[in-house]
Amino acid sequence: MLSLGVLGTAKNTGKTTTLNALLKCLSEKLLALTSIGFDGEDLDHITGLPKPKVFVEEGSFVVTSEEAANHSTARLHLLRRFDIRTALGSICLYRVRGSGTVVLVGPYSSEDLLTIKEVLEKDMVEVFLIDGAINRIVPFQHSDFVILAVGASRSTNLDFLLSETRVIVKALRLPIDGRDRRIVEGLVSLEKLSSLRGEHILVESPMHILLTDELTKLEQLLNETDVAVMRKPELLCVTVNPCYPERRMEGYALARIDLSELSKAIERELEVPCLNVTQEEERLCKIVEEKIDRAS
Amino acid sequence: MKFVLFPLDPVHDVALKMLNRELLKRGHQTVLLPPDTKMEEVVEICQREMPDFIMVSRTVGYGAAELLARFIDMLDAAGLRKKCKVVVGGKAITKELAAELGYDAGFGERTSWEEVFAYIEGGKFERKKVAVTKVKRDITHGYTYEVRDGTFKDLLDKIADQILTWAKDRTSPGIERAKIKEKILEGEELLDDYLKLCDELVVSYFRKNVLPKKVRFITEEEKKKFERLVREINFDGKILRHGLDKPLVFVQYGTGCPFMDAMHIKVSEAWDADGVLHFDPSWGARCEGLLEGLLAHEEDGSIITLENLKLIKSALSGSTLWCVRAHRGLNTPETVLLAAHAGADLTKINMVYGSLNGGTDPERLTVDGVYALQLSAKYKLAFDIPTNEELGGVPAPKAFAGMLVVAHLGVKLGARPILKPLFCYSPDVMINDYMKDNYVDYNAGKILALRRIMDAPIWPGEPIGFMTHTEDRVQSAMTTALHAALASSLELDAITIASTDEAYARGAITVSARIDTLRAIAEAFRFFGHAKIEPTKKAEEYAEKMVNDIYETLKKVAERQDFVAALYEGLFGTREEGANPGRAGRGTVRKC
Repeated sequence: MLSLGVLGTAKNTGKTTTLNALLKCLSEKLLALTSIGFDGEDLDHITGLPKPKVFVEEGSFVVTSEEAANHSTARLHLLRRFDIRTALGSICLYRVRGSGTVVLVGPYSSEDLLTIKEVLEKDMVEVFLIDGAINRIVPFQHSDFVILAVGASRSTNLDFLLSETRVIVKALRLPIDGRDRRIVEGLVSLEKLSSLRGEHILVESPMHILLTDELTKLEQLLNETDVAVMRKPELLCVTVNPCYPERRMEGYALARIDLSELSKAIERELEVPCLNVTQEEERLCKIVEEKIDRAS
Repeated sequence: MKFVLFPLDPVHDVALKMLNRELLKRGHQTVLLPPDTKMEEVVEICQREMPDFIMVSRTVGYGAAELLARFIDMLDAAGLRKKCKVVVGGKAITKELAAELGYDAGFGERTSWEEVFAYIEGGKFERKKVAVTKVKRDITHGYTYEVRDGTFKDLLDKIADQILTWAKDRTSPGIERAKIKEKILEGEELLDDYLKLCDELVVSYFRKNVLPKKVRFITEEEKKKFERLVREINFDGKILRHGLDKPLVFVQYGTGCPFMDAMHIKVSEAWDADGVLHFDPSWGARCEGLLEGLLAHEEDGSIITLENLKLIKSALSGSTLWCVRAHRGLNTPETVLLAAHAGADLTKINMVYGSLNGGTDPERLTVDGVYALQLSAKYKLAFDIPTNEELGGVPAPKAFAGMLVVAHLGVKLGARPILKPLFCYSPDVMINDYMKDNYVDYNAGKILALRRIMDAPIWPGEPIGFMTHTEDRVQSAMTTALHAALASSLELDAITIASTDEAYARGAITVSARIDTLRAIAEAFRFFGHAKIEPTKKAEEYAEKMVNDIYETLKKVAERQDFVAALYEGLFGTREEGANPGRAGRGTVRKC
């Protein structure tokens, strides 16, 4: 089984839209699906703007909470209950018996996600799709592949978006290499990293060093320190979402900016495919199918 | 158990300080962090302390979600996520949002400590059903209606007795129709007899199916929708009176459309209004006879039919007091009858106002009024006595003299009156500069005066602050709220309030304007509580003068020995003052 996660740099960067495209791309495979947050709600919990629905086909597996399952239109058959509790009930494994929409409330932590992954391996699942939540990244340390969703909702400053993406890509490209290194477990804050400047260190995953807002400083430290990781997902591509919620006098409204220049810059400077899912679904499918086929 | 309390906020930590207090009270161990602690530091502290729970407090706005989620990621990276429960609290936090952010639980506004502790300590918590269980109140409870001054009592007795003797052998089409209607309601088929006493408009409706202008039937489908709508309305009641026992708060409705009325009523109930008053179209007062069926009216005023009233009644909460006004027209007795049959609690009768400012002939309304008072006694409907002639220019003491006559008459007939002076900036007040300094003294003076004369419930209306409202919604809500506070300070029994667009609505009033005032008075009641508004010594002077002027008026009326003649001749207010004896129904009273 291969696992593929969609992580974002903020709320509303297009994670679920990317997930929906992936569901279509991989419809020939036996899929399992979950979210590390909340997906498929009608309206955003903060902005009140409409959210994309998640549509699943018959035969797929779905990992979601009991309460969320009740709000799905897909017919779900309960297979097993995990000992993982969320604010919206226990997490369960379901098989889709009739296509429809699902509300996804999945595991919050890396550990729980790993538990679920192990169970799914036994169920002959070919691809396990994991939708991210807000800007959360740590649970994806155990994923085989990731797609990074960036968008105007994070910032409308293209330079900022480009440099943030650059640092994330850089972290995701750190080598897996355990030889002759000082092991640094757990969260690696900037302070900690600067205290290790010039050393050869091994951190758990790229996610463990990315939890900072001072990405320029992080980039600099990464240049000055030899960092390797124990595990990491492979980055397949970056997606961009030009739409973002704009604060108005009362509530939010959907606005958009042109991100085509950003896409080009990411491809040119970072050498990673970058696309707008709503316009380039086929390209996304091609990238993902190739990778998945080669890996399996 | 051990708790780390973390305000993820640059300044705000009140909620966590309160939580800390409660946790300590229950014997838990806590580490309360100051605001603006760096998340990395918090993670380190948690690694050291190894708490069972990490309690994060944050008001959610856009951007805060990323911070809260980042904190979870840090705990996850540090290997702490499964070792501690992480809980988020703050305005706008829901359990859905907690799930999205990756927290174990989330608590929003209005969470009780019990709910939090049930989660923490593993107990069961059942969210209590709407904690406010309202009971219907009797405004007249505890009043004796004793006339406190012997000289007043003599005058009021004399006038009331004269009215009763005069009315004893007189009747009118209004009274006869009420008698027939009473039998119809008992199942007798007397429509022909009824229609003989009606105007053409009513006869054509029954005989030729001709609807009055701008009136249409409510369809069966609409009625079903109405029932569904009302059934599905559910709200967590708000608290309006902040622990104050009085005054009960009434709102007026009468959009013409029973649906809209019902929605206004439900919204008012949700904001904890105690009662509602039904307003009918003005033409309903000038037309002999009432229509039947479920009828919608395109303009102001909701048509009085038994069916319409029952429909409205079906929308009312059990505790909501309901007044159907009957005070001023040619259908006064019949309206009281229908109100009683539809389940109303209160009605409104005042033949002095009704004939001097309501357009009905004084002789006709006096005889009808006496019969209506008898019905109000028979069906146990308390009645209020509005003194809106003051708005036409009649000085308050003259209007009050009329009100006291009707009240005393009602008591003699076994009914329970409620005095309804206005809290208003009336023409007489303007001319005489009674409110030059403040709105308090003259209104307070009115209450002092009335209390000196009679032990009766007092319910300023209608609505309070009349003529002090402007088109500015803030000003309008404010003036209503201050008048409400004055009523509370004077320990009055009830008030009627306007919406903020009531005086200036160009069309039906809006529900948000309705809420404006309810919110504003809730705030006023919260602000004053049991604290008092202190009038100046002017209030006492006004009261004294008012008692004297009421006495003078009553004395003249008693000496005239003919109440109806007193109305025509301006003893309760002259034409110059704005009192104009009405014409509707003139010459219809006959001896029996």
